[in-house]
Amino acid sequence: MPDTHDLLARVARRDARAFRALYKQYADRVFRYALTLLHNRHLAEEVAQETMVAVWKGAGSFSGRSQVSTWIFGIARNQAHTLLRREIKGERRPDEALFLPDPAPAVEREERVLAAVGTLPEEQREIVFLAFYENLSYRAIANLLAIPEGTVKSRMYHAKRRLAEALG
Amino acid sequence: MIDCDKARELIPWYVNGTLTGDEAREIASHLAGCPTCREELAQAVRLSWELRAAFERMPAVPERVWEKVKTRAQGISLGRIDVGSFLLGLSLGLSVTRSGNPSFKSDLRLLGRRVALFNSSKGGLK
Repeated sequence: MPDTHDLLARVARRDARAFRALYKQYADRVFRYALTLLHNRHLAEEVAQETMVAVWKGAGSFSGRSQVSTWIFGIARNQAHTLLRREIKGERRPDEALFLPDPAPAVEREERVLAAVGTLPEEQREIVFLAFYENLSYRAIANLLAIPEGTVKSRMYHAKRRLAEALG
Repeated sequence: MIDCDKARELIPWYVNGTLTGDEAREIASHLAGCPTCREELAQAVRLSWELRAAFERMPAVPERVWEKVKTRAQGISLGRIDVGSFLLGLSLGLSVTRSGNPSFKSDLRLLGRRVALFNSSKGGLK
């Protein structure tokens, strides 16, 4: 797999193949992150779309001071919160479909885990996603969310406790 | 030497492999002498596996999103030629816009700095 910094540099030079490759690396992940935050498939699609367009347009502005993933998830988070604010203003009503699994045969335990994650407050859900699915460090998450490192650890602590209780 | 509270705070990041070398060594050292935190570690490892598997089961982004992104990005480059070296180089690119009109873009590099030569696109990728 090509180095992500290299891919992004090529995207900045308007290399369409590099953009397609970057899209393949990130679109599902951004979509799942947005789904974790918003609990709404339609809005998550919108976040994925807006984020990847922003990546195409803004690749040249990536400073290289952070990981590419942190930069892209930062864009996705901003997009998700923009959509949430729009929802709050009543411009669109979110549906109630939470964490719809793939239509593949159900795996009961995994669905229970997803359901348990779905009961966490948003601020804990995203920490769990970023730490255990994206393997981000607590420092990277603190940077991404613009919160103190201690807050990241504390949210993780509470999330773990709640998940342990829910899953037994 | 860290205590149990500090160790438990760091265990999730020990599990996802993102602690610094010093932090990881401190945790490992604590775990060697603390069965309670070793049990905490075992639980965290199990939870991380389950969470990863569960997140993997979340739906993938539908293909229509790529189609929209591609359309929004307007012109996707059809080809690009780069000739030269760090000292002097020339790039020529051909792309097509959303309306189907082709556009050309070229630039010259002098000592690694880009100098735009011409760009025929109107409202293309910017």
